[in-house]
Amino acid sequence: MLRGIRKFFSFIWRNKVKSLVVVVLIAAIAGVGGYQGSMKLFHDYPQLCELCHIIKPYYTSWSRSDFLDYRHTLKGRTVKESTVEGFTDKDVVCKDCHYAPPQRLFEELWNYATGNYHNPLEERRFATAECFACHKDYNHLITLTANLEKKYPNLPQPGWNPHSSHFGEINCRVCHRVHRPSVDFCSTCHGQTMTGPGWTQEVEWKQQP
Amino acid sequence: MNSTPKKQVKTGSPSAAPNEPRISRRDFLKGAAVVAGASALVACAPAVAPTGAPATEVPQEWDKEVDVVVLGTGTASLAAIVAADAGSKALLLEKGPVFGGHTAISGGGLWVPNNFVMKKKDIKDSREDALTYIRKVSEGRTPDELLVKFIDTCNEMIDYTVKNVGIDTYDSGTQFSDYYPDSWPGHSSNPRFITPKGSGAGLIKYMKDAIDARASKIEVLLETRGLRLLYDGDSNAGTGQVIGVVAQAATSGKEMLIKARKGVVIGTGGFDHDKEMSNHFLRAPIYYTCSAPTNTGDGHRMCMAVGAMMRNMNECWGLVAYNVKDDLTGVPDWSLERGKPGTIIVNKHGERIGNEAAAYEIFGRAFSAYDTGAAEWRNIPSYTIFDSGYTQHYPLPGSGYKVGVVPDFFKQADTLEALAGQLGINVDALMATVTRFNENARNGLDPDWHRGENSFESNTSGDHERTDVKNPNLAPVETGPFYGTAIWPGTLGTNGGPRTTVNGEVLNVWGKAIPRLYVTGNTMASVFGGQYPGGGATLGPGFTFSYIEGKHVATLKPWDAA
Repeated sequence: MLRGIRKFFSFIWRNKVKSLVVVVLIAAIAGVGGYQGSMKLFHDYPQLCELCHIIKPYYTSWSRSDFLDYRHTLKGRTVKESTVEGFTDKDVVCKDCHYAPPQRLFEELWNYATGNYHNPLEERRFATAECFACHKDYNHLITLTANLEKKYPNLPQPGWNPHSSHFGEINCRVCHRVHRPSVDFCSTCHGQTMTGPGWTQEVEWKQQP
Repeated sequence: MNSTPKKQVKTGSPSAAPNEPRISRRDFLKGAAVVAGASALVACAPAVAPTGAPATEVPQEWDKEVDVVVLGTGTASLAAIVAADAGSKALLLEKGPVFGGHTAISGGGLWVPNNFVMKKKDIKDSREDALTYIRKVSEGRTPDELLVKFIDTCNEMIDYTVKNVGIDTYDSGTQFSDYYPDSWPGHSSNPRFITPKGSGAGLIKYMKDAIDARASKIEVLLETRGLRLLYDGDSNAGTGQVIGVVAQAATSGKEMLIKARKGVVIGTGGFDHDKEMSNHFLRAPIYYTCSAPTNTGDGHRMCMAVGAMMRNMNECWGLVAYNVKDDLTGVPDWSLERGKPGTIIVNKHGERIGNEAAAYEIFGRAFSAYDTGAAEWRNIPSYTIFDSGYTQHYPLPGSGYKVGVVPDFFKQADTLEALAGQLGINVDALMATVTRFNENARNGLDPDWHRGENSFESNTSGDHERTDVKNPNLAPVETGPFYGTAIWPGTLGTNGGPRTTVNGEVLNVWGKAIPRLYVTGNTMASVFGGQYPGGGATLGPGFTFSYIEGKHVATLKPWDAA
């Protein structure tokens, strides 16, 4: 702990100007509208997040990619149909998934200053409940993926519905990833099923020791 | 050791270097990747550093404390349910991201002789017949007391799953009756296995629902693997006991110490997917497995580390396959295709390698023949040839069960000679083999390998609707075009592992039970030795011993009790 404190203050001293700017910025944002207000600010201007957080690759893929982060901004349109013009059509922004209580800010500052983190960031394992906050439940998903034949030509048979599988209601994260390609878990046994951009057949559980 | 004031315990995974800084519990916060995912937190180990102290000491701090730790969510899940019903608190760990292990992707059949479904259908069977049969099947590899315990408990286990797990859809079909010859004493030509609705997936759904209904007594952690057993005592001297498990979150690598007050039940499946282990232990190479990718021998290693008596390690439940890939995937042939009229299987020398209609486990044995002249596996690979008499009636393997579809891994030719050339089979030898085969097949006979003479073949792949064949499994291979592809040996699971007492406790190499350690499913040395008596021969004993072990471990007095 002592060593951590020493590390922390030495970091602050070495980055006097930056630290001052950050403190002033935080104070200013919080001063304008309190915590709720600043959350609104980060909703309207998600590019502000990248100013301080080490999230460039994720911010880039959220801005345009084949991954779920970008697809969450399309409001039902396909990637091809979408033209990115500013942030007006971005309906899911960083803070919608990466919500944090205020005290987390200080924990993160501490971890950053004391070097207690990895870069690139460790993949966050999101919980299924987070998805169902918007996507209702499994029955709803089953109806959404009832006719995948046209989009995915490699399906083993017509009517193949990955949300209605013999495994039942498994965690979303088994297949879906947000800032990287999603995983074709069915391909473990059934050959390629979900193909095309945004999918990979590199199933992790096949690569475990 | 007692001079060390603060007892510590090694938690390092085999890959962790001793001086590597331990990952802090705040690591997952970095930058903006915060919030939720709180389940990852449970994997935080207390600050115990690898110090070189022996791994036999009792940790002062535990991340979790339960009565029974169960590793694996296949057949072992029943052990957690039974232990919980007997008043114990259980923790169920699953390495994979989904519940159910290999059981969840299986056919869901349980080989349980003299079961209630047979009785309902007026199918004659008896305890004595079943015992006689498995005594012969197991070839003297299994202590008789284990065979007796299995036969005497399997129906009690089924009864329990009906009443307490709520499995109300057990039924049996007509295929996959006992796999060994009808002439064997005690053999049944009617299936001795029963399966609930939905096969293995259905079976696991019942288990999962039963566990969810016991949420206050059973905790489930997915993506968490057992790494090592914590053993208090000297396993080499045969003293001491298992006191817990070091587990690891598969995703973050974070480790946790779990206290098992009563015991640990290991049901982590076989070791099919561990290439090192299968190369060294199995009698011949494997190119395919249908087992869950998580079956990498984790439980075997944990048991070997505390001195377990390993048995049947050279054995596997054979399953042959086509179009095999490096990752051990392919198109299996459960005997439903190769056993139908119009097929022949030969090696590159043009010799038949066995009874094409034999059950998968038996047929797999044909691939361990060694060519002592050429110094190679004589039958690896072999080649299955289908003639057009076959393809006009039945689907080819890998066709998605569509008659007329020819998958791209098949070679095709109008004559057998041309096909043999494409596949690399000795043409003259093949023609001689096929001539003899066809002459006999026309009369419904196979004097060489007795194809179609046993009830398994007849009721599993036999076609009784065809009037143009004298034997439901046999027809001459003579109508072009011909289709051929390589057939490779593989597994549906390995069946070697620690030998146990009748209560499922692991024996050490000296034959003494290791207290508080149990194995079940494909992790234990199968009670059937190396052989598969009939459909459901993995899940039947797997669930039976999980039941026995769940009951037994729950009766133990906690090791930390005052």
